[in-house]
Amino acid sequence: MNLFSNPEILRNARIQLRPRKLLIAGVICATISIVVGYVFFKGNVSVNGLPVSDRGDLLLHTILWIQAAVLVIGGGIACIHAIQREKDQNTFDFQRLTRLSPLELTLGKLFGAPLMVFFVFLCFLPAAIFGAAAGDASASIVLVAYVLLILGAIVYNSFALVMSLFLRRGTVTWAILFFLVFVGYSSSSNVFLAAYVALGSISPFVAIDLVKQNSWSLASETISIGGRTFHPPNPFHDVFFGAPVHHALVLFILYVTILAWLIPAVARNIKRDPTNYELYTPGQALGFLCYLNFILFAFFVWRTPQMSGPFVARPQSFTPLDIQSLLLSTNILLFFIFGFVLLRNRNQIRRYLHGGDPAPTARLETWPAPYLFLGALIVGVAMILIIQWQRDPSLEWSLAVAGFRLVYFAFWLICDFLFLQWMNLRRSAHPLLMGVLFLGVYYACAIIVVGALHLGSNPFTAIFLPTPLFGLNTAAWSAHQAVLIGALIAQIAAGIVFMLFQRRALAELRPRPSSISASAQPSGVAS
Amino acid sequence: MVRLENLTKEYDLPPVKGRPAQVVAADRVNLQIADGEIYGFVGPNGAGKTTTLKMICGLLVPTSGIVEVQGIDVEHRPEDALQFIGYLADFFSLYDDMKVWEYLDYFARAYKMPAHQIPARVTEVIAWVGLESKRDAFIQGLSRGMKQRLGIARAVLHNPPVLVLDEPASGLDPKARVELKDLLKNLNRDGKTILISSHVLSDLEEICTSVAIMEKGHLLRSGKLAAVMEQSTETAAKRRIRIRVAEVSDQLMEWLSARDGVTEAHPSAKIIPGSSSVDFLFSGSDSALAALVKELVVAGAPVCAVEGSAESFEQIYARLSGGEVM
Ligand SMILES: Nc1ncnc2c1ncn2[C@@H]1O[C@H](COP(=O)(O)OP(=O)(O)O)[C@@H](O)[C@H]1O
Ligand SMILES: [Mg+2]
Repeated sequence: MNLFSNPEILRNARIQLRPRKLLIAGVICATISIVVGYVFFKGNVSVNGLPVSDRGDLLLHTILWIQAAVLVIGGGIACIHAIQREKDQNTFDFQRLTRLSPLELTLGKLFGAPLMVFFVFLCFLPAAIFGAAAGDASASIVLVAYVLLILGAIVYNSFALVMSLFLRRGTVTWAILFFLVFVGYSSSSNVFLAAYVALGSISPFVAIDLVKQNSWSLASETISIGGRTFHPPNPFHDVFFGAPVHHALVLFILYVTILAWLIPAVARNIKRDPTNYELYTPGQALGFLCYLNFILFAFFVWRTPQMSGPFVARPQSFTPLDIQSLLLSTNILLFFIFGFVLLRNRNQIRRYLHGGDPAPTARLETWPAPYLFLGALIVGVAMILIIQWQRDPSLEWSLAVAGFRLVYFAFWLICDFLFLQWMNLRRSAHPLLMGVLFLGVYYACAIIVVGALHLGSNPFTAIFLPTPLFGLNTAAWSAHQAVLIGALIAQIAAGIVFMLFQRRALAELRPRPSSISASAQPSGVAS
Repeated sequence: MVRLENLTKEYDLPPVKGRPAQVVAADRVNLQIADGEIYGFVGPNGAGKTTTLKMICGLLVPTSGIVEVQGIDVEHRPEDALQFIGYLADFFSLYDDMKVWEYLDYFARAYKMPAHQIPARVTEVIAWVGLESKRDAFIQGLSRGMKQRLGIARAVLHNPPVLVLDEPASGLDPKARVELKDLLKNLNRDGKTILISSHVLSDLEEICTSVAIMEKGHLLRSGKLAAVMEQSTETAAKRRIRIRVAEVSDQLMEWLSARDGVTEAHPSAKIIPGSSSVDFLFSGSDSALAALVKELVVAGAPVCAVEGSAESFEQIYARLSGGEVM
């Protein structure tokens, strides 16, 4: 498929790239480039005395940073608007009706909406090349950095496009804020995560760090602070199932695979009725969960990860049981993504119930429990097997504790999602938002109470919150087995209650006999 | 041909005063629309016209039921069905920052027309809706009527056999309405099936071959315009009679009102200056009517003419929909 013959890209080009606009953008970019170049090369307080090569590097880094910000943030904002604005202005339906294939339309939006951004990016390229030539940056590294930057920006833009697809009227500002926070968060280093996942940042801004480092070496530097020496990890030193790999390579593969998840997600929905959107089929959602867990498992530091570095006073090692708990708690986020993809709205349920052969009632009433359970089973068992095989036999490990923790984790999530699914079937303006709010308020209150009373590891707390499970060890397990099993039963019971609520909500959505008699009234005149 | 089978759409309404509600915007609608018809969907606001038309285009998924256009299921094979449909929404906008020809060029490409045919087709369609002078103008600067015509130009661009136009006449001035009607008649002459909705009945009465009367999601009546009107007249026990007289007097009114089978006698509005007439509803056979006229003449009333005024579509509609005419 030829991108340049895509009508949607052509349309965007015609709107955005009119000569006047190009001229203005070009002049602004040239001015910025010249000003930045002038500051670095014609002397300034902070760079006085630097050799020309360093000044060139500085220029390259600065321009690269501007380009990254333009591509990622500017492109992201353009993509957030891409679908939402057309829906707002009632132009989108006409696009849905054309014979553009869903993928064409998706690519047209992804590459069409930020066309002006791409042009600005190109306008800054001469300054960057000049900086690279004057400095001593390696050409191959600059090239790889650009590839990563562009590919990464496309990933972030695709994510923005997914958001655009689901936005409702009047939520754009929030979406843009969320996107900015997401960019900021993913570009900053997370010390806690870095301690047990040997994977560098996934932000496209990493490209700048690569150019700054200007070497392919994976060795770590040596820093000494106050007489002590530290070896801060090299940010490009990833460990894939124990083997060292350069982060640039990992990032490239990650970007490509993430795109393979994001673009089809938009494409399979973009031409549908918005009330009938479904990001992934349940099977695909399960695949996505497995994909995310594959990344987590691949880069996880399985053998006694250690918290170390200038910020940690005492290196602290994890037992295999702690590792399971660490992996499960990271998985809370992944399972929430999974669960939200599985949720169904009233419109979809109505179609099931009205359809010729309605899905078995039991499947509707327990939705999405079976898939969550299956997901927990696959991920949890894989996790336990790897721990079993990798673990240091001298450290604490118990299959019973790990198994119980997994089962509890599964039912705790199932209970939450049965609640959310029920809320989502209620008649209200924003049913899911209300459900999420209630859930958030519940957890906030529970955490505050438990925290204030220092009940975090009290086994009875497990009835309300999963916190005691995360610190569970063999001793605590044998001491409080009955209470913990009781807590598990409480989760199951709560899940059943929400299931019954859901059954009631379903009953209301079934085709009503009254509407049959009403339509029969105006006799058979209607041909 | 367009076929609707048990087409149903239920919506959730945002809660009003705390009580949320559901609405059945289309309730088991069954219709067959033959090729070459101009099929009018009539009904007050909220009757479910837009919902039904959107389901026909595949823009909304039905809660249940089937839509087939040219024998293709719209929900399951949208890409195949959509080439046969041209659609104009009730509220729409065009890309304001595009030029008229660019806009049409975009849709021609999006409909996958052969590239070498596109410029000629765009020129042809622009001429056909009378926008030649605006070819290179930005859409932003067009008038409402011009935008409407450009919208129709877009809908017919890929030469679809079925056109779905949702309230195309709303918001147009009388001149633009007449132009629109001519446009639609021309299209129909070229063999296009046109589905058109309106709450302005006079628009439809003139151009439609068939109508579907909708209300609250139900299809009250449907079929050929003449048949729908005839059916309604049959079901009505009373006919509307107009008697032209040289002069209307109170005596005449009293006399008429006292007759058997006469109701609602009243002097009709003066249409032609210098002539007066009386309207009333009459229930009874033609011979009973003849007897009445004879008596009237014998009694000395200055009768000039007797007309059995046909009930207008608007009146029929008013009766069917319980008076909710727009
Ligand atoms: N998106 C929607 N959400 C909820 N209710 C809707 C929606 N669209 C239409 N309705 C309701 O469906 C009914 C039919 O609307 P519509 O098809 O627009 O009627 P018409 O085009 O005949 O005026 C109305 O009661 C309207 O309030
Ligand atoms: Mg309407």
